[in-house]
Amino acid sequence: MSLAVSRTLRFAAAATLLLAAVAETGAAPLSEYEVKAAFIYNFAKLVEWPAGAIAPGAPFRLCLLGEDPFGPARDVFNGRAVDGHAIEVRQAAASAELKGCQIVFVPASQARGLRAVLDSLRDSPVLTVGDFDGFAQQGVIVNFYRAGENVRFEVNVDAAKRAHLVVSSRLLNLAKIVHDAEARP
Amino acid sequence: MSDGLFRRASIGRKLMLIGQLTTGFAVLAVSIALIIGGVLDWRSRTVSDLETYATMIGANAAPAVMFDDRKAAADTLSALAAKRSVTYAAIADKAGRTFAEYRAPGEAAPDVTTRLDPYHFMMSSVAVSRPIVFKGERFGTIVVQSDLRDVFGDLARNLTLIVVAALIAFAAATALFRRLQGSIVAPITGLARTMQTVSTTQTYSARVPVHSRDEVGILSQEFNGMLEHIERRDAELAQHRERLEKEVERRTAELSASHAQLQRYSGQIDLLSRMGATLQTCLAQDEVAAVVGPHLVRLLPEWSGALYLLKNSRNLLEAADMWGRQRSAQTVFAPNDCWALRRGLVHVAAEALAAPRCPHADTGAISHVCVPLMAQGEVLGTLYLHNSGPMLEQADQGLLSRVAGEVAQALASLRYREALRNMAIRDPLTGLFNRRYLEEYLEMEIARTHRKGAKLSVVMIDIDHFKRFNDTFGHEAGDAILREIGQFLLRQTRTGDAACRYGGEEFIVAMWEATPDAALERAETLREEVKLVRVQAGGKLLPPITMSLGIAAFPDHATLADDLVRAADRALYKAKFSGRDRVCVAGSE
Repeated sequence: MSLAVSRTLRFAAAATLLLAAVAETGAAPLSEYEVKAAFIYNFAKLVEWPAGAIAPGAPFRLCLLGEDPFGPARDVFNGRAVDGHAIEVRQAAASAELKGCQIVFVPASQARGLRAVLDSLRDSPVLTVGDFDGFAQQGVIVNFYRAGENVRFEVNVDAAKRAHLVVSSRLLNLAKIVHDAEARP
Repeated sequence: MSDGLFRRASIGRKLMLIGQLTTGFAVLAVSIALIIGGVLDWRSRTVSDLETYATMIGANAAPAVMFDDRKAAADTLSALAAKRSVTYAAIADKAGRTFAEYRAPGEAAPDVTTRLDPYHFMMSSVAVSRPIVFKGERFGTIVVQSDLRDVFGDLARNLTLIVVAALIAFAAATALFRRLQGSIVAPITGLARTMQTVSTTQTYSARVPVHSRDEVGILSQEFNGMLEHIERRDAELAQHRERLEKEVERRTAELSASHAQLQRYSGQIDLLSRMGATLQTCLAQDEVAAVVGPHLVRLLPEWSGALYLLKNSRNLLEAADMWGRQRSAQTVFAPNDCWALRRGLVHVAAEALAAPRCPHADTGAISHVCVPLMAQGEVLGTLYLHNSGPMLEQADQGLLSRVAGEVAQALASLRYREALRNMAIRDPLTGLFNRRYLEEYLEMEIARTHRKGAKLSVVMIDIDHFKRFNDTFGHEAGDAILREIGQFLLRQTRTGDAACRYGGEEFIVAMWEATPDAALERAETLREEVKLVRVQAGGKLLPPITMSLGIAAFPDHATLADDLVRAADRALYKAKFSGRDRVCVAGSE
């Protein structure tokens, strides 16, 4: 089809080809963990690690503590990079293995050992991402929560400050802001 | 406008049209350029504005898209409410699904799609689509549609301004052209009008006023130069023509004059030859005179004249004939009274000439011509013409000379003929008729006398003692006596009588219509008179001469000539015998 004709056709179709119509014909809705994986990736873009936190040439490590809730959703990270560092997803059985990680995903199953995990990461430039209600108040920096059908997140600005991470205001705009529970008497 | 129409239009109209077209095209081109430029500028500005908005909103909305926060995205989009022209905006996710929308209040359904080019113009709106990118990664697309009606209003206003400006420029240029065109066209019109005047009226004295030093000025000047040239040439031509006409007139006059002259000549030559032929047949001088007059009257009608012939005595010229309106009064004059005779040449006397008038010429004549009549060096007479008008023309002089020649020739031949005849019938010594003539004369006269019943006398004469004269004084004295007696007898005889030398010293005088008595009386006179004749010979006067005479008459003494002479001879013998110096009549013994 020649360019001129295609252009004409597109002009004619312009009024009828509605954005909505196009949108509704998309693929099947994403799974929850696909969404969460994408979110985590996006967090990495909106959070600034202190200089020297990642050695040059080193991978950007995303560590999944304990079990792996993502499953096939881990493909989201395949071939992705953050600030030029390729994302490397790693599973960690214990908090001791979390050294050298830039993001640590803390699933709901780790609620019991959360304190220890957080302690082991204290003052380290590590972005902790929780997946359980109340994690943020306990010191996890970003925590998912559900709002109806949507996945939303909250940010503990105190914890972020402690970890020497700068969270973008644009992330904060979208997040529910929380503080440490113990910090608020 | 069709080509023919343009061609027929005046230069002013053409210039005007050219100016108008040029200006019109220029203004149109500038206007179009301005409009296109304006539209392009407006488009790029509109698009760039919208792009800015889309980029800003897109950037702001990026996290919302990243985190699938539709509400936040919609909130971000709603910031576009501040931009009144934006009627619709939407954000689509990576898969193209609508993520968030914004609709200006009261706006109908949007007519855009996220799969558009970076920008897309529609009837009354423009849509810009920008990808939503965050840190190099694309999260979706934002589409912003803006209403163009306000901008169209601006555009229309700008357009109107441009059109008005263009019209003003065009009108100003037209007015300017109209003024400037006048300065070009007026001289051309003047030139054309003058040319028209010149070509229709042929007045080459017209001149074109020269106002400027441009091409038209040069053209006018050159045209004026050309007119001057033509005028000069016309004048020369007219002069030339006039000269030519005069020349033709002159030549025609000459031709007709010469034609008339020729005709006259031919008439004259005709007359002349006829006169010549007539003169040839003339037998006597009076016949010649009778022929000359009428011919000269016709040859030279303006001239009167006379033919004067020299008498035998050679001391007088006598008019033989006269003709013309002014008859000459002179009938006789002496040869010395005529210059032509004195000089032996044609003599022309006129008031204008210094030549003297001949004394014999008429006092009333203003000009006169005398032509000598000469033949074999002998003067015969004068042909005289006179006129109270102008002198004789050269050609007529020639004519007159020819007439004179003819007349002289005729006279000469008459004389020659007479001389010949004289030689046959006269005695050379005495000039008297000879014996042969006497015999003819007597034959003729006897017949005539007989018819008339008249008488004829014959007187025979013999010189007394002639032998003694001869012997005493010599033959020359005898001849002298014979010559003198001959002259004496010629003097004594009447016209019509015949004096003859019969032989030796014998003479006969035949007297026609003379009775014997009359003859006797005359014979006695002769006998007496002869004694008075004095003859000289050898310087000596000879003694007086006496004669003896015998008379015989017809028909008294003889009826035949021979008998008559014999009878007279007998009478003479008787006179001799009776003692000489006496007269005897025949039959009287």
